[in-house]
Amino acid sequence: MASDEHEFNATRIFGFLFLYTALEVAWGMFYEGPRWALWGGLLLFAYLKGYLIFTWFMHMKFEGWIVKGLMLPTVPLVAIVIFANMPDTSFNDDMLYPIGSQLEVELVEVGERVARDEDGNEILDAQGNPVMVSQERLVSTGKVTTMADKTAPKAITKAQQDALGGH
Amino acid sequence: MSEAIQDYDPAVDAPAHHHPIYDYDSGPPVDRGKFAIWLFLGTEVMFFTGLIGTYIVLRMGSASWPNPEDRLAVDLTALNTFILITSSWFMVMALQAIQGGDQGAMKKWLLATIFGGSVFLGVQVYEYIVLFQAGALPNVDIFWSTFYAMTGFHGFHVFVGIVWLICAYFEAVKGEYTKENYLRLELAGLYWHFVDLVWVLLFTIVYLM
Repeated sequence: MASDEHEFNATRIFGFLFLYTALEVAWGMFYEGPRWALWGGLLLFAYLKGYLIFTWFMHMKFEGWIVKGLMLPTVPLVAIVIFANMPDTSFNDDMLYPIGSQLEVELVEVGERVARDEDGNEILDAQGNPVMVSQERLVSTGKVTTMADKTAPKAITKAQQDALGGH
Repeated sequence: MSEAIQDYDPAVDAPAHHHPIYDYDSGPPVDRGKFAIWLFLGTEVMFFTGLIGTYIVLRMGSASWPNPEDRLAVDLTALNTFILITSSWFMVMALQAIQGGDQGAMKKWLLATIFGGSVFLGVQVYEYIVLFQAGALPNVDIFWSTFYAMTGFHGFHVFVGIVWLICAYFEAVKGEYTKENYLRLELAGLYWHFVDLVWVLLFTIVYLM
């Protein structure tokens, strides 16, 4: 059995989706203002595009209460998943080692030890005395490295530009 | 056997209604397939909420986060986003074509949809290869692990969608869809639009924010 037929101008909706995507990309790449305005603008464009796809392309506008009711519980569930987890990790300036950071360590010489071969036997020199080697240990430097400090692999852009013929 | 029983003819002697006749459908007043796909999409919303929600929580808990533009080719992915949105539009056109009874146009739009999805997936695979070669593996840091988790699962959904649409195309070639019967194509379309919708959010959150 076919579903109810609902005519609408899909090309017009697509035009808006195209326009919003172009504006969103331009906003994300070229806007230099405060972060709240950058993110706010991006989320607004994402919402507008999602709304158009959900309402028109997925025909939610024409569906009855049952289909709408199936999707309704996801709204509070989404909020619960995100906001219930936030107090554990987010907005917490007191975290000793924030998520994504690494504690820097270095090798430090802490003394000498007897050199041993693969079988665990002491290695002796020509006079029969045990050979001594330096003993090292990983020690914390106390410095925390965040992701932004690391060198970012940027190679992708050049390779892709080459593949696209200098796009 | 008594004579009375022997002469009994159910077609003549049985009462007109010897059992109740129900003239209602005990199912919900919506196509079963549509009910099922929306129920499934509801679970998919929660699946991606788990991924995106985790990303948001981790990112908010990080002391700093790299600028995605420094690590990812935003321009190429923006182009890819246009391609996926366009394929979603192709899908709507395919459905509208069969609603108008035009089988030929439906098949053409359906092929265009499959092509768009395949290009999107191809570009994503290419992006992964270049990133891997540049040393950007999932275990490098939390930026890359969340990036691969979200885009990888979405890419898998795109792959499933392409397979689904190819099956729908073969059904279309066999003439299974008509002006009166196109529900299965509509269900495939709903899944495809959902995949598009998820990408709209992922592109914003992962590549632009």
